[in-house]
Amino acid sequence: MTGHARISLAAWGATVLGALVLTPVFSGPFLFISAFLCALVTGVGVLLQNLRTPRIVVPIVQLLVLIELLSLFFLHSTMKFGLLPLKATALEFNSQLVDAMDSINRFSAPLPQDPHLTLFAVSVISATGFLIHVIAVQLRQAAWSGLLLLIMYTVPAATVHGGLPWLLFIPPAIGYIVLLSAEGRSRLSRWGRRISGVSHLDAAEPVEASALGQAGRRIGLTVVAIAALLPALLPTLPEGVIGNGLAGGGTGSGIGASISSTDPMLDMGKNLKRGDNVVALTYKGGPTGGTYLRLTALDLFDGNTWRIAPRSPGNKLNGSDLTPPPGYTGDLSKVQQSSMEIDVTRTFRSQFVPVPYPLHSISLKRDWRYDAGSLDVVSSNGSIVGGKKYKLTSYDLQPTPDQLHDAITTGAPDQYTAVVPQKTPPAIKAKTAEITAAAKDNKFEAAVLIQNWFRSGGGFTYSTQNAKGSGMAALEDFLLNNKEGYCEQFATGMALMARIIGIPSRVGIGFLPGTAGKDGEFTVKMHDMHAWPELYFQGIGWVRFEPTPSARVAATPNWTVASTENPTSPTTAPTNVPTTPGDKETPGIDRPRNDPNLPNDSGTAIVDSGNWFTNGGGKAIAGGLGVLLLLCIPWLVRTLTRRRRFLRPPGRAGAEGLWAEIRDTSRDLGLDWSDISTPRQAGQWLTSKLPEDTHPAVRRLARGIEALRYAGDAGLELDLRDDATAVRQALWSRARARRRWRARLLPPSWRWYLSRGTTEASDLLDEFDLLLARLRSLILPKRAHTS
Amino acid sequence: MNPEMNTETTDNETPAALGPTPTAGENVSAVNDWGGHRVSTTATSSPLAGAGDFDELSEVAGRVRRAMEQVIEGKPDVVEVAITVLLAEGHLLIEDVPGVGKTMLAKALAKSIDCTVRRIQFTPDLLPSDITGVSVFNQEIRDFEFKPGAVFANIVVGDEINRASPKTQAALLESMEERQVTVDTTTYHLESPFMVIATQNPIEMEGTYPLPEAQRDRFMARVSMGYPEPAAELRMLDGHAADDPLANLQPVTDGQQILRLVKTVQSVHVSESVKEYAVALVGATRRSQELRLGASPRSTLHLIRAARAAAALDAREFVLPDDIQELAVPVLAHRVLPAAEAHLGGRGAADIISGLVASVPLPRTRRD
Repeated sequence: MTGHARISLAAWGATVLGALVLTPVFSGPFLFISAFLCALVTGVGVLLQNLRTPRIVVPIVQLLVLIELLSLFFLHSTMKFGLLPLKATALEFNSQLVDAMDSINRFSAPLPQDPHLTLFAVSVISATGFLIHVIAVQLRQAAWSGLLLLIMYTVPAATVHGGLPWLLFIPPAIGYIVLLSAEGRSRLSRWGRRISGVSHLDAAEPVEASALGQAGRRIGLTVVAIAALLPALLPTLPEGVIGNGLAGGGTGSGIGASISSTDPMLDMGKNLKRGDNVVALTYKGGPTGGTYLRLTALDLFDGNTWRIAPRSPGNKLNGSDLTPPPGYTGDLSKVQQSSMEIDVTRTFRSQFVPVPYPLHSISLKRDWRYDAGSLDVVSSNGSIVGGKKYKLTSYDLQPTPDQLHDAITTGAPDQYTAVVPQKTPPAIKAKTAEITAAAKDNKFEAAVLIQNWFRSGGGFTYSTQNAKGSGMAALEDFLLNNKEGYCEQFATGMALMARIIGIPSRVGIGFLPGTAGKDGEFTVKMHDMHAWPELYFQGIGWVRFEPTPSARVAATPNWTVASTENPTSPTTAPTNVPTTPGDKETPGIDRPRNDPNLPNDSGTAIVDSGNWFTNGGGKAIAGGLGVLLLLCIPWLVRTLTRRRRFLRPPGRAGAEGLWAEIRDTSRDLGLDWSDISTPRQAGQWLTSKLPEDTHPAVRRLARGIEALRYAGDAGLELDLRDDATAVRQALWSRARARRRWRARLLPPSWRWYLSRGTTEASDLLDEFDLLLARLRSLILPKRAHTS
Repeated sequence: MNPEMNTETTDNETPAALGPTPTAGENVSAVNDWGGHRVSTTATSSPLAGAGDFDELSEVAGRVRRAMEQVIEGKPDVVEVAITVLLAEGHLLIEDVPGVGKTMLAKALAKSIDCTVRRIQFTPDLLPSDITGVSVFNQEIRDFEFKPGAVFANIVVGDEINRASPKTQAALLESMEERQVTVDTTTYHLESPFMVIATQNPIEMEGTYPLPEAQRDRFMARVSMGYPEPAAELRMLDGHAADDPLANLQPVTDGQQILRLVKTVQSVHVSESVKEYAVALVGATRRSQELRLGASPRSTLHLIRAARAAAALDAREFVLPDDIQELAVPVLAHRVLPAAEAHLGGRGAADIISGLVASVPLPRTRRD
């Protein structure tokens, strides 16, 4: 097999393995078709190479073949004479690709099995395969093809909601390694045969695979294994320690839930849908009935995502009061203030601090900053709020409907919150106009009408199954067709509509008020996470609305109710303050994973919340003890082994045990006991290490072992325990104190056993290698004939 | 070669070596006393050979060694291998450049034993019948009479064996393996002990017939003399100037005694794990990429036999892996062919074998 053919085959394999990562995104037989197309293109390449075609011609012919094949498979009807892909085909191809892009924007993974999506996937994969072939075979730069594989990997990793399964990382990595090793092999083979005169050690190795490639594969596979396994074994690191992951935030599948600063919306959805419903925080005080706790506000909508707009560094918290809430022009000193104490559990990993809006003062200092516009508090050095306990005061703003009714909304507080993205479909605008027609241009009335439309009039259903997010395509689908979603869609939908009618809006992310306990303490769980729109009214500032239906949130803010006479509104009387969803929930309502045991859980959590021991201290102590025990295992096992060895009766097994004990002791103490030395050599080596008075004991021991092993006298009994003890003590007393402690706590003989284990593992790997080589030699002669 | 093997410890070794070692109170040089291994002889009784046989063997071997060292200065290891091969009933090939004492060694060994010795100077015109003997028509009895050739002796010294034609070489080598000579359908057995000591000159290859691999395989061991140490060379100048040391050499033993000692050697025990080790070592030569040709099964046999003799010379009644290791190069190196790469790398067969000895692990004991 020539080098070309080998690399070509490896490149093809790498492409197909790399394309495996697209399986969570696309559905249908796209993988098989692309593998087939790539194989044909590769075959053409190999054939042309063998025919000694000029180098430049090969990729051109390959590209033509690829285009022809793609057209034949998917666009057969548009081809001229049924064979030639001309202008019509190109136009059709283009329109199909546009359709596919549109579908990709509209649907979340996995995408439906549409012909234009399959065409898209196949084109992308086979184009990648073609490029990899050109880079690896024609340009002989296999390493660079890793870039293409990486792109292929990052696309689904960034788009699939919640990230890719980690095992999917392995096939592309293996494909890449095989490609690299194939290239390295043919590169090496240009230097001629290997001369093995240097090392006698490879004498015992199998003849087949070349040692260099073997070493490369060993390293490569080990690295891949570690890269794949390590993140799975390690506990999730807190936010900010190593930055945010590719898919926004940590894995989130463990107990802890996280909110990253890159895409809080995504993380909220993840926590709601998949995270465990653990206690996020508890709080005391505040307005009766609890309060919404906000983490941050998303004020930038570019048509694809709702994000936090670029901000100034923010103001340092130093214990004094925060800047007044933006937009409020009344006398703040007359506004009632309420104080609260919030205790956030360690499982909640967020750099944003849950606080009520508008915040007046907070006890967090130094590393915490706040933004004057959104009044959210965020860590400035990447530390998380989990485990913190803080006091705060907030204004208890209760705008009356009349105030809001009279407020004018002409100006915008900033450059982001009034922007309606250009690609907003006219249908949404029309719908908004239709809903708000009755408001007669009063902005507040219009906002209330929109809220009511979401909650009751629009026929919306609350469901966390909608995973399409809050991009423009998803919102269009949600508002006009599907009408199924959860707070993400409701909040963003209303915020968008508010902007359309000219009210600046943003989306607040945070928690519902939670469940009240017996002593007035509220417990907020992860599944209480919520998103809501905040609308800006001049003179009053940011005002919270609640479009999410009563299935999730029972009540709307009372200022949004009074002035409207919407008879269909199921909302409660104005006096009704917001309550938690758990209280009024009706059975059968689609609320995410509502555990029937939930009240009990929260009860215990409340009782325990003040106790340091149960709050994590106990776990920490138990963990510490566990680690200590774990650290003691080598020592324990070693001591027990020694005891067993010394307790054996004199005889063959007993003496061998003692000998092994001496071997392990010297290894523990850092001496290099050779594995291939005979007892005599080992004894001589020992005498060179030990003081003279122990030499007789060493000799007796070594000779005893010799006699027992080789004299062929089954009945021979030698009691070597005294000698073994003497030698052991001599070895021990000879070592330095540090060595001794190391030998006690972390006996290196263990490491040796471990290395024997890894040797066996790599032997296994070599076996596998050999198997592959045999397979190759079995298959390849046939291939050579056919080509 | 391990120098400890050759220390003259056999004379003063007490049977109760397992007790507090008598050497402990002596000078520092005694610390490395690993020779002699009579542990088991005191602990148990050996059914095959009594302690007396080993004493006799040690004593005789010591005498032969001393006698030979009068002639061969400063080459204790070569002498040791020669005696080992003698006791293991093998044949010895001495290969080295001219003038380092190949023939001297062969003659010294031959002369220190009181038995029949024949020396054959191999030349291109030497005929097979010169080696094996020839049937001559005797006029008196009017019948053919067998005139025994040079091979009919206890010790045959074949000088420059590669100078004779292959046919002649073959005649000698056949009789070496089969210990019998067949002439005109009559088979004549050769008398025991029977040992061929052949010398060969690897440098002057003009007009020679190098021994084929199959025939080299019949020699139990090959030794190279090597140039003597400057001090030994000085002593040699003095000694040889006065008179021929070989002439003064008196036999110190006889064929019958050697036969008895050979029997003693055969009683030396070889444990399973040592056999496994020998097989593993020889097997490694067959798998080595540096060797074009590995060692034959016969070489395993020879290795074990030589190891038996070495153990007996060490006054031990069982073989250690150490014996195998020490004899691996002399016993195996002349049977293997280094690959072209190893030649290019400047590694000879002996280097490769030493490398293998250093890399093949001992068979694992069942429990530890």
